[in-house]
Formats: sequence, C-alpha cells, structure tokens
Amino acid sequence: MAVDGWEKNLYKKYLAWKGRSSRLERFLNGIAGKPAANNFSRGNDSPGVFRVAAAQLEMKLFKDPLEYAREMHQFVCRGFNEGARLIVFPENNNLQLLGMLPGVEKIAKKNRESSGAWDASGTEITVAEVIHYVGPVMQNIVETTFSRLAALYGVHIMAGSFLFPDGSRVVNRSFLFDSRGEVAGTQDKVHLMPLEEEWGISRGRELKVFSTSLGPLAFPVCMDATYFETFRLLELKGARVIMIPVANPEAYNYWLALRGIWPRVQESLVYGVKSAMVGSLLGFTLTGKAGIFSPVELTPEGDGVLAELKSPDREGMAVADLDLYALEELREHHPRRDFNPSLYARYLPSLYGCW
Amino acid sequence: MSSFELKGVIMKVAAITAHGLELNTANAYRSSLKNLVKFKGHPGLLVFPGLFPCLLARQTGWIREINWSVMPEWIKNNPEAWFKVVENYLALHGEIARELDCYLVGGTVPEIEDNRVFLTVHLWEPGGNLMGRQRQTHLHSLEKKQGYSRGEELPLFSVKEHTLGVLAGSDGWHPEAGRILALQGASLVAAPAALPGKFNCWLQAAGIWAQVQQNQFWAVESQLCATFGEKNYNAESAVLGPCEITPGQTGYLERGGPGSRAVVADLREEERQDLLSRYPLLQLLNPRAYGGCLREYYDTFS
Repeated sequence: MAVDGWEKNLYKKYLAWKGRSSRLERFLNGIAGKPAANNFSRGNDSPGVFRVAAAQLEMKLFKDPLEYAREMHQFVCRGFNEGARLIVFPENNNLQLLGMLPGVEKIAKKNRESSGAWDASGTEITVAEVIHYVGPVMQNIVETTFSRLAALYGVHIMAGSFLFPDGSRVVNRSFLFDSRGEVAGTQDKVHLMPLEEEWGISRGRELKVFSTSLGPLAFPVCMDATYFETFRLLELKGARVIMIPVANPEAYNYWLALRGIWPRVQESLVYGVKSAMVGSLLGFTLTGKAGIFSPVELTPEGDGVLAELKSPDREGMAVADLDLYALEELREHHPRRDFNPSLYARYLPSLYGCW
Repeated sequence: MSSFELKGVIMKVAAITAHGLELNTANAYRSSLKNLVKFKGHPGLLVFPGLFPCLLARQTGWIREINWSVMPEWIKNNPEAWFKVVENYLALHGEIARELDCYLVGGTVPEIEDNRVFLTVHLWEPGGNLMGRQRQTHLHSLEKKQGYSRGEELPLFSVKEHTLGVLAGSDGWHPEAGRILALQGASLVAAPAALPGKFNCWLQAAGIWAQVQQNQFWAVESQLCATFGEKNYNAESAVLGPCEITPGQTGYLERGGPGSRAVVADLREEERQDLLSRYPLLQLLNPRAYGGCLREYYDTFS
C-alpha cells in the first residue's frame, strides 16, 4: 500500500476507473430491472404519514465497487418492498470500499492495537491520509450508487455517513438523496469521539434541517445524539424526523445503547430513526440495534419504541409508520413542554463559551 | 487504594419516598424518619420527594383541607397562614438535620415572593442551618395553569466532597437545567419530584436517567409515593450514576419501585473521576455549532 509518485497516481486512476459512474449505473439498472409499482403503505395520499425503514448492515470489505452497489441495492429493494418511502443507512457506510486497497486487512490486523495509525511497511499512515487518498474515488461510488437507487425506486435515502476529504479536512458526512436521486442535503458530524479526533477527523460546524416532500428532515451522526443540544436545535429549526447513522465500537449493552437517540427523542418530541453498522472488521467490533423511536406517548407500550431489531450483531431492517399529524398534536399539548429563556441567557453564554 | 483512602470519597445517600412514614403529628414523623434512617445505615444526604412538605402540612394538621389545585391563588389570598406552615416545616427539618447529623434536601413547597408563587426546594446542613433554596425553573402545564412562576437560578451547594445541584420537579425532564448544573461543576444532583398517574419506568428514564447519562453526574431521584390532592403518585425512586460505573451498566446504583420507603446507595466519587478522565463527555461538546442559533430559537419563547 505504500506507493509514491507516479505509482500512487496510477493506482488512484485505476481505482477511479473501477468505480466509474457509468459502470455502476449500468450494473444497478441491470439488477434493479423495472421496480414493481410501488408498495407504499399509507404515505401516497397523506404526506404527513409515511413508512420508514432503518437498515442494519454487517460490515464487510468489498474488493469491487459493484459488490458494494449490490449490497446497498439489496437493502433499498427490501425497504421498498416493505413500503418505505424513506430508507436509512448507518455511519461509515463507505469503509467497506477500503477492500479495494490491496493488503488492507493485513495492515489493519497488524495495527489493531495502534492509535489510529496504520503502519504499512514501517511507514505510519493516518486514517485521514488514507481517506484523502481514496476519498474522491469512494465519494463517486457512494454518490452514484445511492443517487441511482433513490431514482430507480423513487424513495428518499439517507445513505449513512462517510469519511470524506473536504479540502484539507476529513469529515464524517451524511447524505440525503431525494426520490429523484438528487442530493437533498449533507450534514457533517458535529461531535467527535476521542478516537475520531486521534484519526484526524474534523468537526462539523453547523446543524442543518432539510425541507423535503416528506417534511423537514435532519440527519446528524452517531455521537451527535449523545448531546441534547443537537436534537433541541434541530427540532426548533423545524425537524420532525431525525435520523442517526451509528457505528458503535463497543460490546452491546442495552443501557449503553439506550443513551443516544432514545432520550433525545423524548426530550425533543420528534421521531428518531437509528441505522446501525455491526460486525467485526479492521480491528473493530461494532454493535447496535437499528430502530425507530417516538415520544413514549405515541407508542402502544409506552416505551418510546416503534420498531427495533432483536440482534445487535446481525443484519436486518426495522420498519415503522410515522404520523407527523399525531406528533404535531402531541407537541402542541405536551404537559412538559416548557422553556425558560431568561434562565438560559443567564447561564449558557459563559458556560458554553460562546452564545 | 486502601479502604482507608477510599473512605473519604464514599458518600451514602438516600431518596426518601414518604411511603410508610408516620405523618399524623410532627413528632410521629420525626420518630419514624429517624428509625428509617437508622435502619438504612445513616446516609449523609437525604432527599425528600416533590410536594412532600404539602403532604406533611395536611397530615399533621398544620393546615386545614384546602383545594390544592388552586394553591397559588389561595396563598396569595392567605400569605400569613401559608407563611406559618412553611415556618413550621423549616424549623422541623432544621431540627431533624441536626439530630440526624446529615444534609437534607426537602421536597417542593409553594413559596410566595412579590405576589408570585414558586415551587421551592430547601436545603439544610448537618448543623441544622438552612444552606439555601432552589426554585423550580420549568413548569408542567398544570402548574402553569395553576399560576406558579418559574425560578431563574440554578445555584450549586457544597455537600461534603460533592458539589450539589437541584433539579426540582419538572426540571428533571428539561435537559437545559441539567446541562447548566453540569457545566457549572455539579457532581451530584438531587431531584425531588412527584409524578401522578400510572407508573411508567420509561417516562422516568426520559428524565433524570437521561440527564445523568449526558452529564455524567450522580443523582438521587426521590419520587412521592402517596395519595395527595385526589391524585395517586406512584413513581420509582432511585440513585443513579453514569452507566459505566453502575452494576450491569444500567445507570442505576439502586432503584425502588412504588412502595419502597427509601432507596440508599454509596457514591464512589473516585470511580466517577476516573470515568471523566477516560471519557470526558462535556469536553467533547461543540457549542460553536449551535450556541448562537439556540439562543435565537430560545428567545422566541420569551
């Protein structure tokens, strides 16, 4: 993998050729065929009520971008057949493409204990450097794949988040594609885990809400759901469905996993959709359960869970219906909905250090 | 570390639920509370549930039966009568703190100032002196309807090696309040509350449990278990901590369902400090990404 000068450029061109858009589009058009008349459940005649699917993917390396496209197609097709109009994918949903780099598994295994630096032939390479090298190739592959899939099936796809170069920075960026296959918006991860900071990833600078035919959507990334500020700002900006792609590198524990999106949904009175990357790869074991969450008042069991997968380490798909009318009604009359702006103005400017 | 060294950083705390306490007279109450505290190993901090002072006032006969749903209005019309009730309550608990040699965090009690009525929590130190008070800063819709006002301060108090903050009543469900306490340096939060209606552990987890996990402080949540003002209060009291330093990583050191008299646990502050050095959640906050915007949106509720 340690390549320099013209060899480095030549190999990069080879990767770009393998992941070229025309090849991917031809492949996807072929396997998708002509999707059957859509099976959308209740959403077609009522824009505020629609079905959403959250994918749980098992991490695996792909040597060829077509294998990646096939895998993503399988989940989109499954969500479409379930009647979903919005399909959500997990965090780091491009790392599978590191399989295109020869010897990557061996390097990762050798450096499992190192702190974010991969030692190839005695030369340390940071994750950020790897992403700078293959990022543009990966970006084209994922954008082409999800754009084509969204257009072919006529669904919105939150494609998950990806490590991408952005100028001199590397960011963890999530993408939303609308049902025409256009990029409806992107969101950079705002709160980083200590490991990501070691990797040289940069923080996002703002939290955004995107207006779509399904309503205002937002999709911060994983650790962002640890902090109430993320969901509070997004709901006050108008988001009613907030998607969180996750890839948690820790052994599964019900309570640890509960700490992210679930309490944020309760505090902010929104719907939450969590998609998880699971499995072992590149020295990490990822766990999680994809799920769809709502305020406890809108769930039959009073537990705030509309759908959740049972296994924390196998692939699957959680599916549930969201009713934005019911949510709005609840928000309007919720007994604990209260704000105290003068209290916040008194303390938060100095405590946050900026206001 | 030897047990001697650890001794200085362990604090026993208790959530008192009011269930099973003898409340017919002030002396009966004092006596039954002392027995309970002795039985529970003399915790250094007792937290009483929301509305407990009102329940006590009614049961002991300090006040005649009144319509609690119009309490703020009644207090405005009868400030002297209510002042006497609060005076009795404060004096009694000063004595109890001294006799039990422990810190007390009282339940919420209506308090009038400048013709506004607040829901206030009082704190006593082991010498029996009043350390301070904390007014509830966020209101339930029913409390708004009844005419209560919001407090506008969230001070901290020194309690042994801890810095204590209070999340009174509804504040437990408002993450802004917990964040303000945590960023000021609270290591321990007392949460007196009273949750009427059918018991739902998930509704409770959305409150103090969620606040503890995103702020990494300890909390003593004391929920009223009693019938009061024609309502049944049946929630769960608990002592909570960050998942990583609690048994089974549940976030609960101890919890007691409706019907528990007291929930007691030891806080091992060194374990929390160790967690903070490994996983400093608040240092990973990114206020630049939302600080300015949040202010604009909050201001729309002014």
